Amino acid sequence: MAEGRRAVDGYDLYFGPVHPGSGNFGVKLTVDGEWVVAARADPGYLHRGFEKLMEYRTPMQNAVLSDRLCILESLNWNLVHAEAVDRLCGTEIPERARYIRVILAELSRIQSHIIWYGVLSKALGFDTGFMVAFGYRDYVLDLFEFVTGGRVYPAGYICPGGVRRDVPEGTKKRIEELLVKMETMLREFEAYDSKTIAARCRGIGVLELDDALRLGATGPVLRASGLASDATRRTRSTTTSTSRSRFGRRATRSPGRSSDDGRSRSRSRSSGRRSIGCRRSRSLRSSRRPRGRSRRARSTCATRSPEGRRPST
Amino acid sequence: MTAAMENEGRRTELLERIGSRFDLDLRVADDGTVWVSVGEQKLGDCLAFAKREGFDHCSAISVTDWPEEEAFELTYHLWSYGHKLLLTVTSRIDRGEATVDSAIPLWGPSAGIHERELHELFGVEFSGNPDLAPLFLENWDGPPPFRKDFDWRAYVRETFYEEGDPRERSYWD
Repeated sequence: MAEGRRAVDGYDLYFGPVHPGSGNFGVKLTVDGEWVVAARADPGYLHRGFEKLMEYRTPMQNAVLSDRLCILESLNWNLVHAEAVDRLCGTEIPERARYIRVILAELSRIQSHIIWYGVLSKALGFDTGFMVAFGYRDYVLDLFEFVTGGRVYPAGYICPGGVRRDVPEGTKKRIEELLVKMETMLREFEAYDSKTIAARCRGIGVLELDDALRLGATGPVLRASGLASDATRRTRSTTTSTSRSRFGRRATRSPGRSSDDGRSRSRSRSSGRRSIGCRRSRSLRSSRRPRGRSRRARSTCATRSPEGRRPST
Repeated sequence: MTAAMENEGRRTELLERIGSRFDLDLRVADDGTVWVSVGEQKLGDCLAFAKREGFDHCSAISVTDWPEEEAFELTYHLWSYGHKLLLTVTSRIDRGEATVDSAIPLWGPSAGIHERELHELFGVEFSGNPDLAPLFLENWDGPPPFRKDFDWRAYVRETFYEEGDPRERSYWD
């Protein structure tokens, strides 16, 4: 019997395709009993060969196709494609179109951060966070629909030469209203922040700076590991002569942070959301929150707390 | 002197160093990137030099296929956190014997994964890369599918559709 059991120990197990938060992929596991002794990612489920598809199409057709590169920030992919074609053709983009491009790309980025919050909540077993985040994301999608005609996929709104059409009348007002909603959302997320969320992130997935650099980490992940790096500020110099190290400026570590872990990455994202360039949100944050409103926020989070009681925020 | 001016000065010095080392005239483009084209023989040297000069992040490696010129164009996108500069190194290699040294000794696994992808999709060999197993495709025995001379439309038609089937006829018209 013991021999027979040994014979089935150590086998290959295909785990997937799975959709862990976002993106389909599989993992080829080698297991020994219940121990995973080796794991190899199989990312082929989402590789659709866009480069090859684009070979058969014109740049304007590819603008539509470029939406589909990634569901999380389709307008940014529009922008990347359009900028590449513009540069190849030497096209001069009208100033108004440049502004529209940036505004939409930034809203798309905010929307992507909201998805991150939702997916993180889901991973933490906090489904309310997921629902609320995706609810707020819909406000951004409403605006995308208003401007581009598409909610998730803007059908090549940002296209070579500029944008497909001017923004409709009333867009500015709607964006300002949207930013107010984003500020409410941030307050709501802050109210959710609890010991349970902290406990489920702290010390999890520690990524030291050396490893982050070796593995090519970027964006919020890299910042959470302690290096101030932001591609959107590429052209601005954030380096000072006193704080410069080999890699430039080190990020300020948040007080009480123990390591470069999931908690740190979560904080890094939150600060990313705050620096969304939202004029309205800055002015609101600096103002004192009305007492009554504060109570309402607390009573809301009492029913939505992942730990089933009011978080000690 | 402001920090920005100091940074700009360091950038200029860096470009002069790279330019004189490889006999190139370099300048920062409007979008803040620097493009360098080197011959196949100098590619390894140039990449190693860039790494020593602080280009610590290998953002991407890509291949462009030029079938008429019998060449693959390798493109390395390198980012320096210190200089805040994107350096793009390109080099043309022979399409028939597409072999180039791996960049793993310089940038580790972040270069390795790109090489694995390019090996699968274009058939470029990266000598020194210990893991060039297929990344995306399962049971594929055709030519590297991203080469320009691979006609995926014809492949799909012939593999998945019947010319005699009236419902699939339109794919053959």
